[in-house]
Formats: sequence, structure tokens, C-alpha cells
Amino acid sequence: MSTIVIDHLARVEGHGGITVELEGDAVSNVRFDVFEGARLLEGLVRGRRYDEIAPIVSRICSICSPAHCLTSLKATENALGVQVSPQTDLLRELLLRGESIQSHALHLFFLAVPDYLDRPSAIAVAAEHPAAVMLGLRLKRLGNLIQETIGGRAIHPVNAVPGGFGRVPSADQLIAIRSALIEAIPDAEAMLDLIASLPDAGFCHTPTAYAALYSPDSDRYYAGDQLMIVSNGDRATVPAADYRSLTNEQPVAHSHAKHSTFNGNPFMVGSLARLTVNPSRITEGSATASGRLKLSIPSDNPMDNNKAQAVELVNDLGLALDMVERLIHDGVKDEGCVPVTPRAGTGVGITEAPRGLLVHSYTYDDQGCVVSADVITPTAMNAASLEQHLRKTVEQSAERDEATLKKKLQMIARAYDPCISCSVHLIRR
Amino acid sequence: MKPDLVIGLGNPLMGDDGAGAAAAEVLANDRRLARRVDVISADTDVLSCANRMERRRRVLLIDAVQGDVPGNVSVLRESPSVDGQQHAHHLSAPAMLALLRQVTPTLRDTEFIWILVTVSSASVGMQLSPEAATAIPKVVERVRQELRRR
Repeated sequence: MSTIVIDHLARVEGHGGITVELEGDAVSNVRFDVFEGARLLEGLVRGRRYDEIAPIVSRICSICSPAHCLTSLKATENALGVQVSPQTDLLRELLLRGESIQSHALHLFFLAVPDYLDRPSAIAVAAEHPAAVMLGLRLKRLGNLIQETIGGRAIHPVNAVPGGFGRVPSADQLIAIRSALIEAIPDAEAMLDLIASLPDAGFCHTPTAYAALYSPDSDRYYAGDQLMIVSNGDRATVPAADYRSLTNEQPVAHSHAKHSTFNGNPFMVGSLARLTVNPSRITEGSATASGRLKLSIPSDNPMDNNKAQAVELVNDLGLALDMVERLIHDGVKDEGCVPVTPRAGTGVGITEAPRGLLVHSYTYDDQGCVVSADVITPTAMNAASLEQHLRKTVEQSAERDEATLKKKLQMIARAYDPCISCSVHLIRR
Repeated sequence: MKPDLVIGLGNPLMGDDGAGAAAAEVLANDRRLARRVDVISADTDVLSCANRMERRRRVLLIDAVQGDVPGNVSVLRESPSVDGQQHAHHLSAPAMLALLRQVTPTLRDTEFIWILVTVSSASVGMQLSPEAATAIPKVVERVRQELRRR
């Protein structure tokens, strides 16, 4: 028996990475080890008041902090019977678009592109292609500008609170975002040219099930109230509040992340899943982008998640511009927050974080303090699907040398954009 | 030129990893200091504060570093070594800074100083270990010393 071990996907206290065991050329076992911080962090919110929860959980991840904050608020408001205004819904959706723009820019330009160009890091890419890295930085800054304006800070928003927003953006601030979004149109074109020019990465093909938030009546990811799974052309939905019937989490011995399966099969969440579940949400511009990248939906290639992120980046820029135009046209009212009265109850919040479905669920006592919490991250939901794709990658590879297999395995893992390493970031000497 | 910038790094939910953020919080609450220095917390995303670094003579980054002597405080005038692309989801703080300096000409003349507090490990929790908590006043004093240096 031989073993391929990649232990640098996570950097947390020896946890981590990928292990593939081979009997000859046959794969006997695949493990994707996850230090899944959110699970352990649930204990930190027990006993805390409803207005303390979102600021705490937003720190689960700096890249995904708006999604954790807003998903938490959604769960809390559902538990406490708070109905926010349409303006708050729109501003929260805009905040999520900002997060998606900066997160996809980070992943595509600084984490995925080096793989395709066979360079060890974004720093090596920057030495040869500085314009490409600057392009990524400009798009990331645009996302951060939206987050800072709406959320009050570039990361860990403080302005989104139970019942609404602490303060609303001024007309001048919205006009500044609109200008930045319009100026980013050439950057979006250049981004598509870059992604379209990358070498093909079709080394793993297998039928894949996809799950994403869905709403028949809305084009918003924040407002979706159903979960849809698409598998072999069949579509099934479950109410968002009944998320456990989708995730069916089971503990596994080798990972801190429970594995999610639907009808016994793994499923993938994230950009490729959203495009598969919600084709009607794609704007005309991003449909063109999809064609330029030769992205065919449904896809049997997990590497297509990178292309799907590029399509979503174009889509997010268009959606954000539409939202900002609407807010400028209608005028943003300083409407204050909806009053919150503590009460006992349970609430579920689900949104689409950049890397997929994000679930928060809290049970409150009659004083408005958390009794129990459940947080399921996209990376945890993707763990079983990723292991399936890692196995197929090895099985389908014509090259059997360890270096090539390791490179392919890491590319597959990165294509999922997993959120493993951001919970802690100690410098190691 | 803008005032010197102090950036606290680290995740306050991950125990001693949040030492940099804790020190930055102390400095941000010092009103006399706040009149001549900008202090922010970037948690684990240095890229998010890229535009805040520009047009500064000095940027001080406070971070936790894993080592054998918990509570030790050290100053690095060269960035810690960059560990390549080891992470699936993120770049390390030194890698992000190296990347920014490589592609942003206006950052090349800025002096970057790392104030590092040694911790033995980081695990889930909102409290610093006694060693790390004891080191915070030392970190704050080292930052003040650096800011007094011309």
C-alpha cells in the first residue's frame, strides 16, 4: 500500500489536509481532514444576549464575516419574530454582494490562478504578471469598499444589527460606490479574458449533486427561503427551516467536520451549485461571460467552480450596480431599527456565503440569551463531496507519479475555495 | 504623508491568536496616541486594509507568533519569511504584505515593522492565556517606543 499525504491545506496545530491510500493503482481510502472552527465556536455564544451574537460569530472568518454576521442576524430575527424593512433587506443583500466580489477576487487571482500557471504562489505570479495581480487587488478593494460603506468596516461589520442598520449610507457614499462599480466594468472584462486564457483543467469528471438557496419569488440570496438540490436532472426542495433534512450530518472519525449527504449522496455547494440551481438569476452580461469561459451547466467537473466564480463576479457587479441605482433613485431613509423584544424561541438563518450555503440556528430563552446554537459552514457541507472528487481525481489520472497527483489533488481542493485556515493565522517560524 | 499606522492582527475568537488585536484595542483607546497615530484591527485579512497603508512613512503590524517562550515580545524590521501558498483559502499575513509591496510602488518606501508576541498555541476561546495577557502591556510599550523613534 502507498499513501499520498498533503498536510499543508490547513495550518492549525497539525490538523490537516488530504490523505489518499492506494493499493497498487486503486484508491482504497480518501480523507479530507478539517479543523472546523465554527463547530467549536458555537459554545462561545451560549448564554450571550441576542445583540452580542452577530459581532462574535462574524469573527469565525475574516473573508466571510458579512455572511456570518447577516446569517446570524437572520436566525436571531426569525427566533425573536422581527420583520425587517425592505430597505434593510436590500442593504443587506448589497453587503453580501460586496463580500462575494472581494472573496471571489481573492480566490481567483491569488489562490487559483497560481495553480493554473504552475506557480507556487501569487507572489510568483506578481513577479511575471503584475497587471493581473493589480487587477485582482482592484476588484477586491471594490468589494471591501461596499463592505466598509454598508457594514461600517471592511471586515467584521458593526453596522448591521438586529432589526436593521445602526446608520444608513448617505447619497454621496452610494454615488461613490456606483462610480467604482462602473469603473470596474473594464476590469471585469479583463478578468474574463484572463480566466478564459488559463489552461484547461478537466482532469476530474463525475456526476455531481448541487445544493443552493432558492426562492421562486426573489432574485436575492439573502431572502431565499428554500433549499434546492439538483442531482441527475432531478430537483428537490426543502424549507430552509428544515435544513437538517438536507444536511443529514453524520460524524466521521477522521475529521472535525461532520459529513453531509442527501439521500445518501454527497452534494456540492458554492458558485457552481448556485448557477446550477438558480439559472434564472444570471444577468445577460454574466450569461455572456459563461459562454466566453465555455462553462456548461450542469457540470461534471469540480474545477468549473473557478469559472463559476468568475461568472458570479460579473453577475455580482451587475446586481450591485442595480441595487445601488435603486437605492439612489428611491432615496435611503433613516428609518431606525425595528424594536426587538426578547422572547423564547428558535430561529434558522440561511444565506449564500461566497463558498456556499451557510446555516445558523439559535434557540433563545425568554431573556433573549442563547441556549443552544448550530452553525454549519459550506466547507463542512462540501467535505464529503470533496472526498468523492479527490478519489475520482486519482482514479482518472493517467499520470501516476506522486508530484502530479499531489498537484491535481491540491487544485481540486482549492477549487472548492475551502474555509479551513482562516480561523487562526499564527505565524510559524 | 498620513500619520503612522498600527495594525493589530489575529482572531479574537482563537485565544492567543488574538493577541495582536487585543494590543491594538488598548492602543486605539489611548486618546493621546490616537491624535497622532491611526490604529486599526485587520483580524486575519491584511489585504482588506491595503488602501489604509498607502502614503504612510511607517506601518507597525502586531501579530502572534508561535514559539517556545510564551509572552516574549520581539521586533522585526524585516518581514517574516513567506511560506508560499500553503493555504487553500487565504494567504498568510507576511505573504499578503509581500504581495502588496511587490505590486504597489507607493508601499515600497514605507517602513514596515513587526511587533511579535510569542504564544505557544491558539485554540477556540475568547480569553488570552495568562502569558499572552501579561505580554500585552509589553507589546503596547514596544509599539510606543517604536513610534517615538524618528
